[in-house]
Amino acid sequence: MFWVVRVSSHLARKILEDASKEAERILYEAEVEARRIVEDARRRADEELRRALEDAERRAREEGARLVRDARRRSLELRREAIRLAYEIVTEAFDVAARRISRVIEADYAEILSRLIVEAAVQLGGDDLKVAVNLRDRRLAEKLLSGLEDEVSRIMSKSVRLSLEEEPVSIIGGAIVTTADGSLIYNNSLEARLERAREELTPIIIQRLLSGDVK
Amino acid sequence: MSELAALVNEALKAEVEARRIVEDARRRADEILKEAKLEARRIVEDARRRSEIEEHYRRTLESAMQEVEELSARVEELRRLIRSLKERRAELVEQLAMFITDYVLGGEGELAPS
Repeated sequence: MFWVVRVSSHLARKILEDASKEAERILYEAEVEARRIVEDARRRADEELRRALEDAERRAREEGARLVRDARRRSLELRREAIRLAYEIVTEAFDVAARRISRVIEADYAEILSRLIVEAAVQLGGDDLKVAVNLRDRRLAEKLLSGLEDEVSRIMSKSVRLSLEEEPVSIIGGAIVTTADGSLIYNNSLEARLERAREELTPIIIQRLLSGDVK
Repeated sequence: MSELAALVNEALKAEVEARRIVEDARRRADEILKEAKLEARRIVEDARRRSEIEEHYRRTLESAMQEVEELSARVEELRRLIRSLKERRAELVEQLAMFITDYVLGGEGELAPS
Protein backbone atom coordinates (compact mmCIF):
# COMPACT_ATOMS: atom_id res chain seq x y z
CA MET A 1 0.00 0.00 0.00
CA PHE A 2 3.04 2.25 0.20
CA TRP A 3 2.68 3.43 -3.43
CA VAL A 4 -0.94 4.35 -2.79
CA VAL A 5 0.05 6.52 0.15
CA ARG A 6 2.84 8.18 -1.83
CA VAL A 7 0.66 8.77 -4.82
CA SER A 8 -2.12 10.06 -2.69
CA SER A 9 0.13 12.41 -0.73
CA HIS A 10 1.63 13.54 -3.98
CA LEU A 11 -1.82 14.24 -5.36
CA ALA A 12 -2.80 16.24 -2.30
CA ARG A 13 0.44 18.14 -2.44
CA LYS A 14 -0.01 18.74 -6.15
CA ILE A 15 -3.52 20.01 -5.56
CA LEU A 16 -2.24 22.40 -2.92
CA GLU A 17 0.78 23.44 -5.01
CA ASP A 18 -1.47 24.15 -7.99
CA ALA A 19 -3.80 26.11 -5.78
CA SER A 20 -0.89 28.11 -4.38
CA LYS A 21 0.39 28.81 -7.87
CA GLU A 22 -3.09 29.85 -8.97
CA ALA A 23 -3.34 32.08 -5.91
CA GLU A 24 0.06 33.62 -6.67
CA ARG A 25 -0.98 34.19 -10.26
CA ILE A 26 -4.22 35.81 -9.18
CA LEU A 27 -2.41 38.07 -6.73
CA TYR A 28 0.36 38.88 -9.19
CA GLU A 29 -2.15 39.80 -11.88
CA ALA A 30 -4.12 41.85 -9.35
CA GLU A 31 -0.98 43.73 -8.36
CA VAL A 32 -0.05 44.33 -11.98
CA GLU A 33 -3.56 45.55 -12.68
CA ALA A 34 -3.50 47.68 -9.53
CA ARG A 35 -0.22 49.30 -10.62
CA ARG A 36 -1.69 49.91 -14.05
CA ILE A 37 -4.78 51.51 -12.53
CA VAL A 38 -2.67 53.79 -10.34
CA GLU A 39 -0.29 54.63 -13.20
CA ASP A 40 -3.24 55.40 -15.46
CA ALA A 41 -4.68 57.58 -12.73
CA ARG A 42 -1.39 59.45 -12.41
CA ARG A 43 -1.20 59.98 -16.16
CA ARG A 44 -4.82 61.10 -16.19
CA ALA A 45 -4.18 63.37 -13.22
CA ASP A 46 -1.13 64.88 -14.96
CA GLU A 47 -3.14 65.37 -18.10
CA GLU A 48 -6.06 66.86 -16.18
CA LEU A 49 -3.68 69.16 -14.33
CA ARG A 50 -2.06 70.25 -17.59
CA ARG A 51 -5.46 70.93 -19.10
CA ALA A 52 -6.63 72.69 -15.94
CA LEU A 53 -3.55 74.93 -16.00
CA GLU A 54 -4.08 75.70 -19.67
CA ASP A 55 -7.73 76.38 -18.98
CA ALA A 56 -6.87 78.60 -16.00
CA GLU A 57 -4.40 80.50 -18.15
CA ARG A 58 -6.93 80.92 -20.95
CA ARG A 59 -9.63 82.04 -18.49
CA ALA A 60 -7.24 84.42 -16.77
CA ARG A 61 -6.13 85.89 -20.09
CA GLU A 62 -9.70 86.30 -21.27
CA GLU A 63 -10.78 87.79 -17.96
CA GLY A 64 -7.73 90.07 -17.90
CA ALA A 65 -8.33 91.18 -21.49
CA ARG A 66 -11.98 91.88 -20.65
CA LEU A 67 -11.08 93.90 -17.58
CA VAL A 68 -8.43 95.87 -19.49
CA ARG A 69 -10.85 96.43 -22.37
CA ASP A 70 -13.56 97.70 -20.01
CA ALA A 71 -11.11 99.95 -18.16
CA ARG A 72 -9.74 101.32 -21.44
CA ARG A 73 -13.24 101.95 -22.74
CA ARG A 74 -14.18 103.76 -19.53
CA SER A 75 -10.97 105.78 -19.63
CA LEU A 76 -11.56 106.67 -23.27
CA GLU A 77 -15.17 107.69 -22.61
CA LEU A 78 -14.08 109.99 -19.78
CA ARG A 79 -11.24 111.37 -21.85
CA ARG A 80 -13.75 112.18 -24.61
CA GLU A 81 -16.07 113.78 -22.07
CA ALA A 82 -13.20 115.86 -20.66
CA ILE A 83 -12.16 116.97 -24.16
CA ARG A 84 -15.76 117.85 -25.03
CA LEU A 85 -16.07 119.85 -21.83
CA ALA A 86 -12.73 121.61 -22.35
CA TYR A 87 -13.73 122.39 -25.94
CA GLU A 88 -17.04 123.87 -24.74
CA ILE A 89 -15.19 126.03 -22.20
CA VAL A 90 -12.74 127.30 -24.84
CA THR A 91 -15.52 127.95 -27.34
CA GLU A 92 -17.50 129.85 -24.73
CA ALA A 93 -14.39 131.83 -23.76
CA PHE A 94 -13.81 132.75 -27.42
CA ASP A 95 -17.44 133.83 -27.74
CA VAL A 96 -17.11 136.05 -24.67
CA ALA A 97 -13.79 137.40 -25.97
CA ALA A 98 -15.32 138.08 -29.41
CA ARG A 99 -18.16 140.07 -27.83
CA ARG A 100 -15.70 142.08 -25.75
CA ILE A 101 -13.38 142.71 -28.69
CA SER A 102 -16.26 143.90 -30.88
CA ARG A 103 -17.09 146.49 -28.24
CA VAL A 104 -13.56 147.54 -27.57
CA ILE A 105 -13.24 151.25 -27.41
CA GLU A 106 -10.72 151.45 -24.71
CA ALA A 107 -8.71 154.32 -23.46
CA ASP A 108 -5.62 152.61 -24.70
CA TYR A 109 -7.07 151.63 -28.08
CA ALA A 110 -4.55 153.93 -29.74
CA GLU A 111 -1.83 151.83 -28.25
CA ILE A 112 -3.53 148.65 -29.40
CA LEU A 113 -3.99 149.91 -32.94
CA SER A 114 -0.38 151.12 -33.04
CA ARG A 115 0.86 147.70 -31.95
CA LEU A 116 -1.21 145.95 -34.60
CA ILE A 117 -0.05 148.24 -37.40
CA VAL A 118 3.61 147.95 -36.35
CA GLU A 119 3.38 144.18 -36.13
CA ALA A 120 1.84 143.92 -39.61
CA ALA A 121 4.35 146.32 -41.12
CA VAL A 122 7.28 144.44 -39.63
CA GLN A 123 5.88 141.11 -40.80
CA LEU A 124 5.61 142.48 -44.35
CA GLY A 125 9.22 143.65 -44.25
CA GLY A 126 8.66 147.40 -44.31
CA ASP A 127 9.19 149.53 -47.46
CA ASP A 128 6.11 151.20 -48.94
CA LEU A 129 2.98 149.97 -47.17
CA LYS A 130 -0.69 150.81 -47.17
CA VAL A 131 -2.73 150.67 -43.99
CA ALA A 132 -6.49 150.05 -44.08
CA VAL A 133 -8.68 150.62 -41.04
CA ASN A 134 -12.42 150.97 -40.46
CA LEU A 135 -14.22 154.25 -40.64
CA ARG A 136 -14.23 154.69 -36.88
CA ASP A 137 -10.45 154.32 -36.56
CA ARG A 138 -9.53 156.43 -39.61
CA ARG A 139 -8.89 159.66 -37.77
CA LEU A 140 -6.91 157.90 -35.06
CA ALA A 141 -4.82 156.05 -37.64
CA GLU A 142 -4.03 159.30 -39.46
CA LYS A 143 -2.67 160.72 -36.24
CA LEU A 144 -0.62 157.63 -35.46
CA LEU A 145 0.94 156.80 -38.83
CA SER A 146 3.90 159.20 -38.88
CA GLY A 147 5.03 158.11 -35.46
CA LEU A 148 4.57 154.48 -36.43
CA GLU A 149 6.61 155.01 -39.60
CA ASP A 150 9.52 156.04 -37.41
CA GLU A 151 9.04 153.11 -35.11
CA VAL A 152 8.89 150.53 -37.92
CA SER A 153 11.87 152.17 -39.68
CA ARG A 154 13.83 151.90 -36.46
CA ILE A 155 12.89 148.27 -35.99
CA MET A 156 13.63 147.38 -39.61
CA SER A 157 16.70 149.60 -39.76
CA LYS A 158 15.52 151.04 -43.06
CA SER A 159 13.19 153.71 -44.33
CA VAL A 160 9.56 152.62 -44.22
CA ARG A 161 6.60 154.53 -45.53
CA LEU A 162 3.11 153.98 -44.19
CA SER A 163 0.12 155.52 -45.90
CA LEU A 164 -3.56 155.24 -45.13
CA GLU A 165 -5.84 153.53 -47.65
CA GLU A 166 -8.46 155.86 -49.02
CA GLU A 167 -11.31 153.44 -48.59
CA PRO A 168 -12.19 152.30 -45.08
CA VAL A 169 -12.59 148.54 -44.62
CA SER A 170 -15.40 146.76 -42.87
CA ILE A 171 -13.67 145.40 -39.82
CA ILE A 172 -14.37 145.81 -36.13
CA GLY A 173 -10.90 147.12 -35.38
CA GLY A 174 -7.21 146.68 -36.01
CA ALA A 175 -5.69 147.14 -39.45
CA ILE A 176 -5.08 145.40 -42.77
CA VAL A 177 -1.64 146.28 -44.11
CA THR A 178 -0.59 145.59 -47.71
CA THR A 179 2.53 146.17 -49.75
CA ALA A 180 2.21 149.04 -52.24
CA ASP A 181 1.89 146.67 -55.20
CA GLY A 182 -0.81 144.70 -53.31
CA SER A 183 1.14 141.45 -53.60
CA LEU A 184 1.35 140.85 -49.84
CA ILE A 185 -1.35 141.37 -47.24
CA TYR A 186 -1.12 141.14 -43.49
CA ASN A 187 -4.59 141.05 -42.03
CA ASN A 188 -4.24 142.30 -38.48
CA SER A 189 -7.91 143.15 -38.05
CA LEU A 190 -9.31 142.15 -34.69
CA GLU A 191 -11.56 139.51 -36.23
CA ALA A 192 -8.66 138.03 -38.21
CA ARG A 193 -6.56 137.99 -35.07
CA LEU A 194 -9.42 136.38 -33.21
CA GLU A 195 -9.68 133.63 -35.83
CA ARG A 196 -5.92 133.10 -35.79
CA ALA A 197 -6.02 132.97 -32.02
CA ARG A 198 -8.88 130.47 -32.19
CA GLU A 199 -6.87 128.21 -34.48
CA GLU A 200 -3.61 128.59 -32.63
CA LEU A 201 -4.84 128.67 -29.06
CA THR A 202 -7.75 126.23 -28.99
CA PRO A 203 -5.61 123.04 -29.03
CA ILE A 204 -3.10 124.57 -26.62
CA ILE A 205 -5.75 125.69 -24.13
CA ILE A 206 -7.59 122.38 -24.36
CA GLN A 207 -4.35 120.56 -23.71
CA ARG A 208 -3.64 122.73 -20.70
CA LEU A 209 -7.15 122.38 -19.35
CA LEU A 210 -6.87 118.60 -19.67
CA SER A 211 -3.52 118.51 -17.95
CA GLY A 212 -5.02 120.57 -15.13
CA ASP A 213 -2.51 123.27 -15.91
CA VAL A 214 -4.96 126.16 -15.95
CA LYS A 215 -5.33 127.22 -12.35
CA MET B 1 -10.12 -0.10 1.95
CA SER B 2 -10.12 2.11 4.96
CA GLU B 3 -6.66 3.27 4.02
CA LEU B 4 -7.81 4.04 0.52
CA ALA B 5 -10.75 5.91 1.92
CA ALA B 6 -8.42 7.86 4.14
CA LEU B 7 -6.29 8.75 1.17
CA VAL B 8 -9.26 9.84 -0.88
CA ASN B 9 -10.44 11.82 2.06
CA GLU B 10 -7.03 13.46 2.27
CA ALA B 11 -7.20 14.35 -1.39
CA LEU B 12 -10.67 15.80 -0.94
CA LYS B 13 -9.45 17.85 2.01
CA ALA B 14 -6.58 19.07 -0.11
CA GLU B 15 -9.08 20.04 -2.81
CA VAL B 16 -11.14 21.98 -0.27
CA GLU B 17 -8.04 23.68 1.05
CA ALA B 18 -6.97 24.46 -2.50
CA ARG B 19 -10.34 26.12 -3.20
CA ARG B 20 -9.97 28.12 -0.03
CA ILE B 21 -6.49 29.24 -1.01
CA VAL B 22 -7.71 30.34 -4.46
CA GLU B 23 -10.78 32.02 -3.00
CA ASP B 24 -8.63 33.86 -0.47
CA ALA B 25 -6.34 34.95 -3.28
CA ARG B 26 -9.32 36.18 -5.28
CA ARG B 27 -10.65 38.13 -2.30
CA ARG B 28 -7.24 39.61 -1.69
CA ALA B 29 -6.94 40.43 -5.39
CA ASP B 30 -10.34 42.14 -5.26
CA GLU B 31 -9.16 44.13 -2.26
CA ILE B 32 -5.93 45.11 -4.05
CA LEU B 33 -7.90 46.26 -7.07
CA LYS B 34 -10.40 48.10 -4.90
CA GLU B 35 -7.60 49.89 -3.07
CA ALA B 36 -5.93 50.71 -6.37
CA LYS B 37 -9.17 52.21 -7.67
CA LEU B 38 -9.57 54.27 -4.52
CA GLU B 39 -5.98 55.43 -4.81
CA ALA B 40 -6.56 56.28 -8.46
CA ARG B 41 -9.66 58.31 -7.60
CA ARG B 42 -7.78 60.12 -4.85
CA ILE B 43 -4.91 60.94 -7.22
CA VAL B 44 -7.27 62.39 -9.83
CA GLU B 45 -9.29 64.35 -7.26
CA ASP B 46 -6.10 65.72 -5.71
CA ALA B 47 -4.98 66.90 -9.11
CA ARG B 48 -8.30 68.67 -9.60
CA ARG B 49 -7.97 70.39 -6.24
CA ARG B 50 -4.36 71.46 -6.78
CA SER B 51 -3.87 74.98 -5.53
CA GLU B 52 -1.38 75.66 -8.31
CA ILE B 53 -4.30 75.92 -10.75
CA GLU B 54 -5.75 78.92 -8.92
CA GLU B 55 -2.26 80.24 -8.34
CA HIS B 56 -1.56 80.01 -12.06
CA TYR B 57 -4.87 81.78 -12.75
CA ARG B 58 -4.01 84.51 -10.27
CA ARG B 59 -0.47 85.00 -11.64
CA THR B 60 -1.68 85.17 -15.23
CA LEU B 61 -4.35 87.68 -14.27
CA GLU B 62 -1.90 89.75 -12.27
CA SER B 63 -0.18 91.43 -15.22
CA ALA B 64 -3.56 92.45 -16.64
CA MET B 65 -4.64 93.69 -13.22
CA GLN B 66 -1.63 95.96 -13.09
CA GLU B 67 -2.76 97.62 -16.32
CA VAL B 68 -6.33 97.74 -15.01
CA GLU B 69 -5.11 99.48 -11.85
CA GLU B 70 -3.20 102.04 -13.92
CA LEU B 71 -6.28 102.62 -16.06
CA SER B 72 -8.47 102.86 -12.95
CA ALA B 73 -6.16 105.51 -11.56
CA ARG B 74 -6.41 107.33 -14.89
CA VAL B 75 -10.20 107.02 -14.79
CA GLU B 76 -10.24 108.48 -11.28
CA GLU B 77 -7.98 111.32 -12.41
CA LEU B 78 -10.29 112.05 -15.36
CA ARG B 79 -13.33 112.02 -13.06
CA ARG B 80 -11.64 114.58 -10.82
CA LEU B 81 -10.68 116.67 -13.84
CA ILE B 82 -14.23 116.61 -15.25
CA ARG B 83 -15.68 117.50 -11.84
CA SER B 84 -13.22 120.37 -11.54
CA LEU B 85 -13.92 121.64 -15.08
CA LYS B 86 -17.66 121.57 -14.37
CA GLU B 87 -17.34 123.31 -11.01
CA ARG B 88 -14.93 125.97 -12.32
CA ARG B 89 -16.50 126.42 -15.73
CA ALA B 90 -17.61 130.03 -15.28
CA GLU B 91 -14.32 131.00 -13.68
CA LEU B 92 -12.30 129.31 -16.45
CA VAL B 93 -14.40 130.89 -19.19
CA GLU B 94 -13.82 134.32 -17.67
CA GLN B 95 -10.11 133.75 -17.19
CA LEU B 96 -9.67 132.43 -20.73
CA ALA B 97 -11.84 135.16 -22.25
CA MET B 98 -9.63 137.77 -20.61
CA PHE B 99 -6.53 136.06 -21.87
CA ILE B 100 -7.92 135.69 -25.41
CA THR B 101 -9.08 139.31 -25.49
CA ASP B 102 -5.68 140.48 -24.37
CA TYR B 103 -3.95 138.17 -26.85
CA VAL B 104 -6.06 139.40 -29.78
CA LEU B 105 -5.57 143.02 -28.83
CA GLY B 106 -1.85 142.44 -29.05
CA GLY B 107 -1.07 142.32 -25.38
CA GLU B 108 1.42 140.06 -23.75
CA GLY B 109 -1.16 137.83 -22.19
CA GLU B 110 -0.09 135.05 -19.90
CA LEU B 111 -2.28 132.00 -19.82
CA ALA B 112 -2.92 130.44 -16.48
CA PRO B 113 -0.60 132.13 -14.08
CA SER B 114 -0.19 129.56 -11.37
